[in-house]
Amino acid sequence: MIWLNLLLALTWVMITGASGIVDWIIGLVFGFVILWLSWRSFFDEPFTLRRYLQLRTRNPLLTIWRWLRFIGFGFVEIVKSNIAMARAVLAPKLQIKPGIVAIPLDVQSDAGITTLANLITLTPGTVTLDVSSDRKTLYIHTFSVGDPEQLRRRTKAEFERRVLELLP
Amino acid sequence: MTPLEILTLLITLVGVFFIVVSSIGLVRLPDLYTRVHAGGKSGTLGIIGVLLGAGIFFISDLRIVFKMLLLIAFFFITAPVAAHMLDRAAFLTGVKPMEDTTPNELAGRYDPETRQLS
Repeated sequence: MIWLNLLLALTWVMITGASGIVDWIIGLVFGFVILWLSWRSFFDEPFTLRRYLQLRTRNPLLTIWRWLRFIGFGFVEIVKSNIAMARAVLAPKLQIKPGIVAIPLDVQSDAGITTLANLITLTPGTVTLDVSSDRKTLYIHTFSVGDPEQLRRRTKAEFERRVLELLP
Repeated sequence: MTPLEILTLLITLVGVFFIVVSSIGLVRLPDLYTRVHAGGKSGTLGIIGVLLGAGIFFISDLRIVFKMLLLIAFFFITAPVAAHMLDRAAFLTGVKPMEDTTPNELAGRYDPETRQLS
């Protein structure tokens, strides 16, 4: 997780705008404290130095590339979603057929479920309502249900696959 | 006007347009759940537009550009969560969805005592 610490240090340096060696050290120390305090909410296990120093990602460049591709995909979806929304709202006659649909989940981790839920909310026509207590079903509110079965299939194929690639 | 100012203006205008759409949606749409769509979605591109406009105007100072990008990232993390919490709270307190909301696969799935969702 030393990567995350470096990323936090970079963020610190960029925000303060001072990039001397002292600022990097301050950034690293703050980053470490933040990681240490929020460890449990990320990894479901107590903090260990070994886990901290572990370079879990074998290929950091590939991971970075995947994240960038994911962010790009998300951005395109957000633009589409906003245009669809503007069309629906500005149409002379409102044509909406809302519905609430349950979607079975394959992602397991907290981070994965959160990312998927956020992605669904930001993409065209759907808002996440809640996740079931056993974390196996996601309930989404949709603006225009065509065929619920098709919505389920599309969400799983387009969004969940991408999230699974990044976060199990 | 310099080209930079024109670009700033254009991007900010796109943002403002979507914020206006979002407000119109809040008024026009029939029930809380569809209104959350308007607030939670059109808002996002609106915010991107306005913040990006500010970032581009101050493009010579990379600190400001970075801060704007960071603000956008945080907005993307928090806005969907707010939409989700609103919807969930509304459903739990019994706000009825509009009439032809079909299917409603969430109806009756909450345990009224424990609020566990099955």
